[in-house]
Amino acid sequence: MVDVRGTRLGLARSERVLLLLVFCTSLSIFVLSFNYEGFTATYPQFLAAATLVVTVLLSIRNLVPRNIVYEILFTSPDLFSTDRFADEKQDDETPDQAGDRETGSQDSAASTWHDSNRAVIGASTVAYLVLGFLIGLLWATPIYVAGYLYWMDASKLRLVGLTVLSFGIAFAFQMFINVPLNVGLLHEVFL
Amino acid sequence: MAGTLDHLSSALAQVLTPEVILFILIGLIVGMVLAATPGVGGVLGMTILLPLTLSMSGLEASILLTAIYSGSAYGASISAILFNVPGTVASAATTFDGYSLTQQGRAIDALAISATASALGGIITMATLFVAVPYLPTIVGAFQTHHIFLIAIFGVLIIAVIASKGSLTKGAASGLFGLLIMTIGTSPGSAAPRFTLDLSSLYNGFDFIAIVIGMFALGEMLRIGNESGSVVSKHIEVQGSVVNGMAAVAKSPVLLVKSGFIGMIIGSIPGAGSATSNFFSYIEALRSSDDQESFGTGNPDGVIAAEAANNGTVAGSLMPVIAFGIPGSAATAILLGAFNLHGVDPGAPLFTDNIDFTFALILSLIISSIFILLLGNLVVTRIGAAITRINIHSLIPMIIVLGTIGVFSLRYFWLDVATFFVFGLVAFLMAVHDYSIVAFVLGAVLSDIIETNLQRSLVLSDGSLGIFVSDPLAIVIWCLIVVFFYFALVKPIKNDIDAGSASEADA
Repeated sequence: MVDVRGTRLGLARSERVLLLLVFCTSLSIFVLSFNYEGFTATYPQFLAAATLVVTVLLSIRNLVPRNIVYEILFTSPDLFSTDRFADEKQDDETPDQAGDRETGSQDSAASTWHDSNRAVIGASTVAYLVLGFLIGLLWATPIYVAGYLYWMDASKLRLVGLTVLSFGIAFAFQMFINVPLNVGLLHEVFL
Repeated sequence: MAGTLDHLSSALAQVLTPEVILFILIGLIVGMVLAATPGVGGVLGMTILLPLTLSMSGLEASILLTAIYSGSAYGASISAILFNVPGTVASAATTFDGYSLTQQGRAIDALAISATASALGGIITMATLFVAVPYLPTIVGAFQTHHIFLIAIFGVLIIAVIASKGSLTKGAASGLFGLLIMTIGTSPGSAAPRFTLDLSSLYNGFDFIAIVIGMFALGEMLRIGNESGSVVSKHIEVQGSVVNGMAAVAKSPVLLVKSGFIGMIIGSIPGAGSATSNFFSYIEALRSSDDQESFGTGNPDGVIAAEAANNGTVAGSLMPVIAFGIPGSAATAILLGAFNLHGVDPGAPLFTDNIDFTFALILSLIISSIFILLLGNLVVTRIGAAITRINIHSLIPMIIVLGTIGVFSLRYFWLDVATFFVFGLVAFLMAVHDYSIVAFVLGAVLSDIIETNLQRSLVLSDGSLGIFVSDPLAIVIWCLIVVFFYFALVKPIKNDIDAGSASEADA
């Protein structure tokens, strides 16, 4: 499942990916901002610096001792407390369940990409976008919908109905909003 | 007065047309059905239909989107009442008494209470907003560029705390990342391209609507992707009486009005939407009741309080968007996106030159509430169970298709499609790890407002920061920020320390 315990920072791999993305984006903006002058540079510099600081703090949060600093930084008060109901739910939990809660979200987080349906959604969406780029979204749309529903074992009626409906939606965009959905890169190269 | 009546009649003429009534109905039904499907929600409906509004006028687009918003505020109660599974967190408090009524064989009573309370809560608060509109220009006119900057900063801070989902730093990271991403593209002050990597398609930055559609359409589909079939699989007997349900609401007029206003007030606070207001209102109903023991066991007042509040929230959340162009929730951020897409300027113009637009929007929401009353009592009470059973795997490819084509339709840029995909993945990872997507979206939508107003303020003051404390209104906003931080951060920590000291003394 997830490599939560095996890492030095104690973060799930998918959270590390997220934090790395935010860190790299803010670092790039911070560095590139020195190419500009005046307010054009200082506003993104300030934001990027602040984002870098909170990203680093989040990355090392499991190394911070559980004291008042940890409380301030990594917990948040419930301003609109609904404690009465929260307490009722908590009362039903055993200590073991309560202990498992924190790692639970990380476990589910870590299992994100290993779960077959999500992987299918992600992969099929990439395939749809690439196909749409190549042949045009008008033609890629029914292929994607039919392929997805076939993979998910949808009934033939549902598969046909939704495939036709999806083509109708794409066609309506082309017809009524004049979106050029019927051409892709291959049309431009070969036709 | 005569002027107001002229504007009112003009607004009525714009709203009472077959096309607009049809848009209201479509919006309501989309909002109700999506919100009644647990885990989906009306924000998704607003995002995927937003590109479809390209061929509409600004008013028609805004009416369609706010109708979805209004319909979803009510629709979430359907599965809460019938299956004890709130369609969205906005109806979580409805489950306490709504589902108990269903278990007692009074599901139709509960659905009728929900529809009636939602509709009347919406009508009362929208009527209040309507009455307030002529007085708002004086208030809005007092706000200058540095005040708008301070309010936007205040909004981001509130959202970072309230929507932080248990970690202040995570809330701050989400909000800051949203602000930062939108600095890519042409700088609003110098008009110079910034961080574009020499890509001409990045000169105008990432399209906010593409980001929002990616986050709420693809991100949500990935999140619910591991559900199998319909989320709700229980079978229940739908019994009871519509008349009894409506009568129960009629017996509690004070509670209805009070709950609607609680929703309206909480809705106007950035970050504190219907998820908060329905609990707040429920707790207030419980506190003020003579029959507290019956709450949670099928007391109609529990449903009235929760449902009147979450539709009241719609009116409240519209106020900061219309008045200052500062949204407080994902739904109103999308509405602001629609305003920008259609060239509608929020703020003073919506109370002067374009006041007909504001009146028409509010009137359309009153009409939406009347439709909720009719559809809720006459249709949902009969087929409510069926509309919660949408097959997730039929929904997913259709939402992704609508999202992709919709995003491409904005500017015909494949960069927007890539933005849709990348931010969809980012939103999914954020949701899984409890980073607030709402804080990110609001950071993104407020980035330009903050940068523009900060720069204008500094130009006006020759670079002096003194402008931000130069007048009473600015000082009042600072005081609000300080008070907010006291109650949000200082007081809870002080309480923790006091509690720790007390327990040590006891030991």
